[in-house]
Amino acid sequence: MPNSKYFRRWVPSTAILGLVSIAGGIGVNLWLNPAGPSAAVDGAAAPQTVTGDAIEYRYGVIQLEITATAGKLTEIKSIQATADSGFDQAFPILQEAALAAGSTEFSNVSGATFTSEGYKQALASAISKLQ
Amino acid sequence: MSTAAKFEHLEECMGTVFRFAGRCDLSDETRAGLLAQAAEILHEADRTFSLYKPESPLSRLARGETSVANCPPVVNEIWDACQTWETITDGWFSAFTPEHTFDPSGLVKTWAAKAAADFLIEHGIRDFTLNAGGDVLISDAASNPTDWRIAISKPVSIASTQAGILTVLDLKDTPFRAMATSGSAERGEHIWNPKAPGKEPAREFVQVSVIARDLVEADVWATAAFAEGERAIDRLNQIESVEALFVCPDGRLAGTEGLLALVAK
Repeated sequence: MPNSKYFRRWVPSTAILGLVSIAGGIGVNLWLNPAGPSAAVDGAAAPQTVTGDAIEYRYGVIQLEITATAGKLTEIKSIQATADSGFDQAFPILQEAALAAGSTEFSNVSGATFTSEGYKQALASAISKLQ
Repeated sequence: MSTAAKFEHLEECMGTVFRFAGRCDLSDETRAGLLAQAAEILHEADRTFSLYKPESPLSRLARGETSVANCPPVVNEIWDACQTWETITDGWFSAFTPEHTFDPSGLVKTWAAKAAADFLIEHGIRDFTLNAGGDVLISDAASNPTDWRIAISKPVSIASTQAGILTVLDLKDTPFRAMATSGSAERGEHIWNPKAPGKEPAREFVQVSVIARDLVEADVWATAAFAEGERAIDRLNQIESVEALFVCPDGRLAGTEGLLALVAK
């Protein structure tokens, strides 16, 4: 019974995880340069489509194809999604939520407490990527 | 206010970086003075509670050279807060290390951050966010919509080439003002399991983010849930004042019932 309660939550999250690999690249830069994504993303980028790994999770397998343009997610397709019966309809809802989040600006990032050293490394790395 | 100027202040303290960022219409000099005083609140907490500084009251306490009663009153306050949270979390938050040393560092960072933020608000800097090394506080008067959106990091170090964003939550028009994340990405397995024999490190999650109104509440629950593991999902679901996102070692995610409603649109 607890399992069925969690189920819908696991699924969206799997979708979120799939698309993170794209959205994530600019994350630290965004935080370090809160002016906006333009600081971190090369201009005039062509749409890029990648296929995520098939991810096995508690209730099945999911594999997503993600298209991103200039760091913004523009499309997510589920090319493989299996789940125990009755739960399939949960996928579109979660993908929608994840897609929306992937293209949102933000001012801060919450993560495990980083060290001063880690912060400086991230800062140096972000600066080195700026044109 | 049209006269409000943007500011950003970075302060290195407690081995991490605190970032104050917002807008205020005080003079540059006044603002800088207040931010310096807020930073001093952080450093004072560090001088008192650091176990890395041999002469700190906490280090002397750990060596048995003094008692809580003989420490500065603030040590008593933190001691009491730790006891209270240990009870509330059913023992999953504990300020005692596996070696039985009183180590409240899991609470002191956010407690000090909150004190620094309260100081600024009292003195006229009211529109800002504070990022305490990955734990984030939003002031009630934050005026920039972006300030209400907090990204949750992937469970990897910010220094990693894999660093990035898991998702973004929007706390605008919610009761929530704070988010804290516990995990092993930055400093390894530093959260012990207060209930396991020998108190070995917790491993069921790689990251737990908790959203609450209060930064300390978010921080304590993130630490407690990380230590407790999967059963914490049920526990946090029953607490109305918090929401949470859990990341498992294999990449699976779980959230509390209200989490999806917070995902930024």
